[in-house]
Amino acid sequence: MPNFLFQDFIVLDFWTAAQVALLGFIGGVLSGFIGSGGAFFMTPGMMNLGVPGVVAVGSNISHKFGKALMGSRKHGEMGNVDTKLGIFLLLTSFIGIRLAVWINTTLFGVADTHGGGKGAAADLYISLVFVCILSAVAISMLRDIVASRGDEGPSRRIADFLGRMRLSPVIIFPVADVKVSLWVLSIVGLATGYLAGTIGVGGFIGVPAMIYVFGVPTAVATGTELFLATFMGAFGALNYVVEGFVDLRLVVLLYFGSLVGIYVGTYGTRMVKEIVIRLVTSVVILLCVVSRAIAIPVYLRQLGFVDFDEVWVGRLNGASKGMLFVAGASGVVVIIFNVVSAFRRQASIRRRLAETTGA
Amino acid sequence: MQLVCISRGEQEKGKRFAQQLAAKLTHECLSQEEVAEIAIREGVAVGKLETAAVKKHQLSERQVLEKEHYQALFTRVLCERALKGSLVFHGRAGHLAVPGLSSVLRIRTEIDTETRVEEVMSRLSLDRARAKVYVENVDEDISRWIRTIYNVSGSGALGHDLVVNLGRVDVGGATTATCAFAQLPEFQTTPASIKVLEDLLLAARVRIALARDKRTWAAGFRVQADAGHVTVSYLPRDSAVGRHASEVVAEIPGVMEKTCAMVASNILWVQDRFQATGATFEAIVKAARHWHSAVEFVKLTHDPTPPSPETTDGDGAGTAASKPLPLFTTRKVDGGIEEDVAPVPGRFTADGELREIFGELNARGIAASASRLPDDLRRIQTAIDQTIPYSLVVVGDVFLDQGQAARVRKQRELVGRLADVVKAPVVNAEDLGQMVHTGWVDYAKMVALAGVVAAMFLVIFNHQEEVLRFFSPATIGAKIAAAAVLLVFVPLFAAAYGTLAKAVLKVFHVE
Amino acid sequence: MGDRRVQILILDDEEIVGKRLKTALEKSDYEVEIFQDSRDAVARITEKEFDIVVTDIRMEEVDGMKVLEHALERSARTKVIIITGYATVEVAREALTRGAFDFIAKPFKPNDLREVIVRAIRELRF
Repeated sequence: MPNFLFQDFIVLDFWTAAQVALLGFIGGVLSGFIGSGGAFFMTPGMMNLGVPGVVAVGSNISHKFGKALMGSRKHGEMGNVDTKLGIFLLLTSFIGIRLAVWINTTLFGVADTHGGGKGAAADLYISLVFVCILSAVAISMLRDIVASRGDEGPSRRIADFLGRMRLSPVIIFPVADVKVSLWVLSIVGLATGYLAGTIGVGGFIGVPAMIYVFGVPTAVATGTELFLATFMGAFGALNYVVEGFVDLRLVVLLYFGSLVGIYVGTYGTRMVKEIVIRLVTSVVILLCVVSRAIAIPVYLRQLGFVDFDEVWVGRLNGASKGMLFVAGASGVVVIIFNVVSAFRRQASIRRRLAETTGA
Repeated sequence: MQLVCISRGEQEKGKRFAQQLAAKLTHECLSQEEVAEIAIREGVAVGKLETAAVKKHQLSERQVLEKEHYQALFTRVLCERALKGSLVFHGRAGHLAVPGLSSVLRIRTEIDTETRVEEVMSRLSLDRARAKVYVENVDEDISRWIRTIYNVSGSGALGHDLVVNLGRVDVGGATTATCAFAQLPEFQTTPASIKVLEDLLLAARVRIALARDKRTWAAGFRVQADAGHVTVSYLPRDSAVGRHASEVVAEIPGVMEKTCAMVASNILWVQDRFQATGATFEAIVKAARHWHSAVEFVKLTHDPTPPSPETTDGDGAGTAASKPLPLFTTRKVDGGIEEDVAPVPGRFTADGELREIFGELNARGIAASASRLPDDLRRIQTAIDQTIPYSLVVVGDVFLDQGQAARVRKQRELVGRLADVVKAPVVNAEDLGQMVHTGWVDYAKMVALAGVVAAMFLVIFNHQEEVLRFFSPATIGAKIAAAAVLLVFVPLFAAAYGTLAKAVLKVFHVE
Repeated sequence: MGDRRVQILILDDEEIVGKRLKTALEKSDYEVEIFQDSRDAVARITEKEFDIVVTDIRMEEVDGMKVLEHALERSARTKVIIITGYATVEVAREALTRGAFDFIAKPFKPNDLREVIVRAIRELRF
C-alpha cells in the first residue's frame, strides 16, 4: 500500500505524478475521440495508483468541471445549448449527486471502524458500480456492432419505451424542439447525477438519453451535456471538497495530460470511421471493466470477506494496473495510427494532384 | 420556364392546390410521393429515412450515405424536370433541394388545425381524438424529416416567398391569386438560373454515380459542379475509398474536368473581387493547407433580378474582360471526354481573376469551387447550402463600392447573417492570417502562459502539505473557503493551460 | 399465458416475403401462418385470435390499414406490425395512430422483424 502524506492523500513522487499525467492524456484522447467520458479510464487508473476511490472520484469530477466549462463556452456561442432542458436535468441530477456523495462518504467512514484497509468499502462499492454499469454499456455497444454490422444505429429498446411515455406533465423545449414528460426527465437526470457522483461518469447516460429518448438533435445534445457537465461538475466538486476528498495535485496533473489529449482525440474523429470509433470505445471500456474487476478481490480481502496470500494482493494490483494501461494505450495507438496514416495518404494524394494539374 | 416549390406537408388540400396551380400555369406537376417512388425504383431505401423521422432515430453511418444518395436523386429529378419545362413541385420544402437557385418560387400552404382535423377524420376515417393526434404528430415528423435531410429547421413560414392559408381561402381563389404572383419577374428563369440548374444536375449525377459504384459507395462525398468542372471532396477517414472517386467521375458524361481532393474541413471565402496574389489569398492558401480544407469562393454580387440575358453571363459592371471566356479551357481533359461540345460559359466567365485563382489553387492541390451570393443580405439563407459542414467562414473585402461607414456596417451585418446560417465561426481575412500564422506575439503569449502554468505547478507541488491541509477543511468557514478556492482556481488553471496546449499543438498542425 | 407457442399471422401479397419470413420465424419456434390475399387473412383473423399480425400496407382488395383495424377490433391485445416498401412519414404516422405496434420499412432483415416481435411478446406477457 502506498504511503499517505496527509489524511487520505497519497505521496506523489515524480514517477507517480507522471503516471497520473499519462492517465490524463489517455483519458483526454479517449474523451475527445468519443465525445464524452474519459472518466471511466481516469478514475480506475488513479485507484490503481493507490488513490482512495473517493478521492479519485472527487478529483476527477473537479477536473471534469473545468474542462466542461471551457467546452460549453464555445458551444454556447453557437446556440447549441438548450438552457431550459439543461436546467431541468440539472436540478434532478443534483439529487442524484447528493445521494452518490452521501453513499460514498458514508462507506468511506464505515471502513475505518473495521480497521481494515482505508476506504476499502467505498473502493469496493465504486468498483462494483463501475463494473456493472460499464460492462452493460460496453457489451450492448459490442452486440450492436456485431449484430447489425453498422447498418443500424445503437440499440434503443429502453429509449423507445421511455420516449413513448408521455405522462403528463409534458414540458416543451424550444431550442431542442422536443416535448418530454417530466417523469422521464427526472429519471434520466437522477441516473446521470448518481453515476456522475459515484464513478465520475455522467455523459454516458446524458448524451444518448437526450438523443434517443428525448429526440434532441445531436449538436444540441452535446452542447447541453457540456452545460450540464459544467454545473454537475461544479456541484459534485463542491460536495466532495467540503468533505475533504479533492486532491488538487491530482486535478492539476490530470489537466496536464488531458487538455493535450483532448485535441488529439478530436482531431482523430475526422480521420476514423464511426464504426471504428464505436469499436475502440467499447473494447477500451471492456478492458477497463476487466481491470477494475481484477482489483475487487483485493478490497474484499481488506474488508475481511475473503482471505488469500499477501503475495496475491500485489499480483492482482499489478494485473489490474497493467490491464488498464493496455486498455488505454491500445485505444490511443489505434487512434494515433489512423491519424498518421490518413495524414500520409493525404500528402501523397495532394502531391499527385499537384503533379497532374501542374503538368 | 419556371420552378415552383410548394411546401404542403401532408395536407390533401395543398395537393389539390398544387395540381390546380400547375394546370392553370400549364406547368408540369410533380409530387413528393412521385419522387419517392422514382427513388425506390432506383434502389434508394427511402423508407428507412422516412421511418427514422417518425421514430426519432438518429441515422446510422450507412443511412447517412443513403441520405446523401436520396438528396442527390431528389435534386436530379427536380433539375431534370425543371430544365425540360416549367414545373410545380409539391411536398416537403422542395426548394431546399436546389440551393443557390434564386428564381425558385417557394410557397407554403397553411391550414388551421381544426379544419385539418375535420379533413383527416373524413379522409382517413379516424375519430376526432386520433385525428388530432395524427395531425399534431405528422407535422412534427415532417419537420424532423426536413431537419434530417437538409439540416434546416423545417417548421414555419421562414424561407418561403408566399404563404397561402387554405383554411380561409378556397383552392380556386388561391390558385388564381398565386398565378398572378408567379408572373412576378423575380420568379422567372434566366440564363443564370439555367446555369445553376445545370450545375446542380451535373453535381447530383456525379454524386449518384459515386453512390452506386461498388468502388465508392461506402464513402461520403461532397460534389460541386461549375460548367462541367466537377469538384469532389471527401473526408480523410474515407481516403481509402475516396481514391477511386476520380475514376468513377471520369466515366460520367458531361464532366469536362474534375478535381478530387481529400479535405478535413470546408472554408467559405466571401469577397467582392478575387485576386490570386496578396495577403488574403496567401492566408487562405495557408489556412487550406493547414487544415486540409476545400475552399469555396463566394462572390458577393449585386444580383439584379431579373438580370437581363446580356448581363447574366458577365459579372456586373465591367470588372474584367468584355469577351466571354470559358472558364477552364486551358487544361486538358483527363477523363477522355474531349471538348467537342461548345464550351459552356462558366459562372464567372468574364472574370479573369477568378479563372486565375482557380488555376492557382488547383495547382497547389487545394480543392476549390465557386458560387455566388446576392449582396441582398436577406437572401443569404437560401443561397447557402446548409447541409455542408463549413468549419470556417472568411469574409474578405466586401462592399468595396460603398462608402466607409456603410461598408463597415454592411460588413458587420454580413458577418452576423453568415454566422446565423452557417453555424461556424466567421472571421475577417486579417484574423485568419493570425489564426494560422504563429507570430512572435503568439510565442510571447505562449511563454507567458507557460510561466503562469509552471508557477501554479510549482506552488502546488512545493507546498503539497499546506495545499492538502487547506483542502481537508474541518470548520464551516474553512469548507466555504476551500470550495470557493477550488471553484475559482480550477477553471483558471484549465483556461490558462488549455490555451497553452492549444497554441503549442497549433505549431504542430494538430487542431 | 403458459407455454403456448406465439401465434403469428403474416400477410404480404408477394409470395417470397411470406415464405422467407415463415422459415426465419419458425426457427425461433413461433407458429406462423402466411397469407397472400388480404381477404383470406381478414377471414382467418375473424376465426382465430393471433398474438401478432404482420401485414403489408399496399395490397389489392383490402389494404393494410383495414387489416390493422380489423385485427385490433377482433382483439385489442393483438400486436400489429406493419412492413412496407412504400413507407412514408404519413403512412407510418397513420399506422401508429391507428394503434400499430411498430412499423418496419423494406428492405429489412428477418432479424429486424424478430427483434420487434420479441419486443411485442414482452409486452404481451407483461
